[in-house]
Formats: sequence, structure tokens, C-alpha cells
Amino acid sequence: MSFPFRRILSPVDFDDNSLAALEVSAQVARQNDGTVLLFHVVPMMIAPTAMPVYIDIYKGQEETAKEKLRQMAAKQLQGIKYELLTHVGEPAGAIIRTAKRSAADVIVMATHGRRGFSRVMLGSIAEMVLRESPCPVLCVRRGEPDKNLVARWMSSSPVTATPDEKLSTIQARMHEGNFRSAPVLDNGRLVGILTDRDVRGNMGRLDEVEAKYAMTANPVTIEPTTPLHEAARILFERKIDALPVLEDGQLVGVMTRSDILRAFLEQD
Amino acid sequence: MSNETDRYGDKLRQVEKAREDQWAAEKDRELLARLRQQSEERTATERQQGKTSKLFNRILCPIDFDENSLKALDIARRLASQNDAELYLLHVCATVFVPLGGPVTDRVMAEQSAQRRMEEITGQNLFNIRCQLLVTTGDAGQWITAVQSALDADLIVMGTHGRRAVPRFFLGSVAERVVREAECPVLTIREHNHE
Repeated sequence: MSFPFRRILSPVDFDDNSLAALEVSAQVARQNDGTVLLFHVVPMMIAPTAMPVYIDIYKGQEETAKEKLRQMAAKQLQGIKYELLTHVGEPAGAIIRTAKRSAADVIVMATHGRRGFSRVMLGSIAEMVLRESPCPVLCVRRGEPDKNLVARWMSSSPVTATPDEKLSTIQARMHEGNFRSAPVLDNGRLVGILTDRDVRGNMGRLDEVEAKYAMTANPVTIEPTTPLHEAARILFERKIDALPVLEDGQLVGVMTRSDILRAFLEQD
Repeated sequence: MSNETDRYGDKLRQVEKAREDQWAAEKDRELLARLRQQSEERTATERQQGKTSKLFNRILCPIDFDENSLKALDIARRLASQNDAELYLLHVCATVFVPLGGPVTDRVMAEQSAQRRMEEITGQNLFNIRCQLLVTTGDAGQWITAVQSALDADLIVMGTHGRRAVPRFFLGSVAERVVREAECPVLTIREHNHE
């Protein structure tokens, strides 16, 4: 491995995460007059007996992968030197061996982090590569979500409440974190939303009233892939301030009026 | 007399501790606000001057003074030089609990000593690069991501293991957290990456 990074190993998977990582590889290569080693591994479980039929299937997949790599390179690596490599087998080991064999100076790969409530661990392949890599590894997050979608602008609200909680405790948390709304979750499932207006409406009885009586039950929800316009329209027409964002039925964030304003301000 | 509980003493210590925590939190907030403002001003001037976006504009390099992080610093320095980028070095002191002497003075002294060590290192190696030294105290992973966010740094360069390196974990706890949570690419340098 040496500096500057001239031989850049870029393991890809044909999804959006990989494109973001490949873009970084391309930029590094451009700057250093380097070569991108575009690499795809067709994952295969090593079977104790290699039946001929299975090997044919994998050969077919490898050919498809080679073609996809060719297209990817034509689109993303214009004006840059590159080599296309494929392998069938266990991905992490293959990446490490290839890095050693082709004397890569750096490995650039996507690491599958996720924003929102659930911070998913590094992808297992990324983990294994980081463990054994013979050269520095540039870990690239997934690409920025499309800026016209809710996912890009929503806020993840750590303040949530349970239906049986008293308003006083919830209000304290909302105040501390400076949040104006709190989704109400029953065993992780969204059942309502509580805003500071609901809290204010119960002033004087905060120690007695429970969330389930003050909240708006079964609120309108949206998804991370909902367009921004749609979210704004709902907030406007229903005169509400916050929309819980659900992905696969799980709460991943809240889209508030302030977020719409921020999106508007940052759009230039 | 001997078995009377020192109630007032306890209360006074609590008040003192609360004040110290407040002071520490205030200091932390000020630092982050200052970094944020600095980076916004710089982005504004860059935009005005119509500077073409280079690969990396601001590089954050957390260091620990051990072999691994000095290796990372070397790479960070070369990247900064190559990209004419600003280099920010960050050392996060561990929260020290010492029974004698107040935590405030300990923290200040620890930070000052870290600052001196960083200046030694940078004096030797980083004379021709725009470089800023930052020292804070607390949770390293949290600080690194907070500073990256405040600075809007486009790259973090760090070693995979720190002081408390436990070899059987492939990634030290700090590096693991930063890779998982940072908003920008992270370049990790292993102990055994050699030229």
C-alpha cells in the first residue's frame, strides 16, 4: 500500500450504496491518475459436493455480473483507467485476497449505515474486510436520499411516549429536548401522537392525565419515500404540525413543519 | 463527633459538582458553536471565490498519540497536502476521576498537556499545512462525530485501535462508532498497514 492512492479496489454490489462508493473511487482515481479495480463477488455458499448443475448457475451469474460491471464502468468511470474483476465465492475473503494480489493502495466500500431510529450495524462483509484489510479502507455511507423525499428532511425524534405514561413526565422530556411533538408507541407500534398543544390543553392536570387520553389516536402517517410536496400538503390541509414517518410499519422519524421550512431554506 | 454524618459537606460537594458540570457543558457548547460558525464562514468565502470543489476540503484526524494514530496522522497530512485541505486534529481526553484535586483543574491540566503534545508533533511535521488543534474531554466517539458535524468535515482519518486496544476486536470501540455514525466517509488505518 502506498500513498498517493493509485490502485483503488472498489468492491460493488449494483445497488445505490455501491454507486456512492464508486463515485468516491472515481474521484480519488481522477485526482491521482489512478486505476479503479471494479470488483464484484457473486456470493456462493461452499457446498461439500460441487454438483455440476450448480456450477453452471454460478457461471451464468458471473457472466451477468461482468456485463453489469461493464455498463457501470462505462457510465461512472469515464476518462478513468479501470479493470473489471469478478469472483464467485465468499465475498469478504475474496476482497482481501484481491487487495493483496493486486497490491491495492486503498479499498473504497459502502458500509450500509442507516439513519433514523435503528442504527444498523455495519454490513457483515464490511466488518470482515475492515478486520483483515492489508491497506486503508475508506468507508462510505449510503448515498444521500433523494432531496425531494421525506427521508432527506425528516427529524428522528428520540422523544416517544407510551400510552399509559403521565403527561408530566412526557412534557419534561419534550421540553428538555426542545421537541414539540412526541409519537406514542405501544410495544413499538405507533398508536398516536402527542403535541405540545395537547399538553397545554391539559394544564393543571398533567400529573393525572395519561398520554392515551390526550393524544390524537391513529394519526395520519407517511413513509420515507413520500415526496416532500405531499407531506407539506397534508400538514397544510389538516392544520397539523407533525407527521410520523413509518417504514414497514416501524417508526423511523417525524416530519414537522420546521422540517418543511428547513427544506425550503436549504433548497438553494 | 466521629460518627456524625457530614451532611453539609456532601451538599456542598454536590453543588460544586453541579457547577463544574455546568461549566464543562458550557465549554463544550461554545467549542462546537465556534467550530460551526468558522466552517460556515469558510464555506461562504469559498462559494464567493467560486473555488472548485476538491475531493476533500476539511479533514478531521482524531489522534491518540499511539503508533496507530500517528500512522493515521501521516496519511491525513499527505491527503491534506495533496488536496490543499484544512486539517483538524482532535484529541479527546478521557474523563479522569481523581479523588485528590478538583475535576475541573484535572481536566484543564489534562487538556493543556494534550495540547502541548499535539503542538510538538505538528511542529515537526505539519508546518506547511493549514492545521487546527482541538482538545476536549469526554466520550471520544461522541466528540468525533459532533466535531465532524460542526465542522462539516468531508473526511475522517483515524486508526482502528486506540490506547485500550483489545486485539481480538477487529475495530476499537471508538473507530467502530465513528464508522457507523459519521456523516462523511471514514478512512480507517490498521496497525499492520505498512508501506
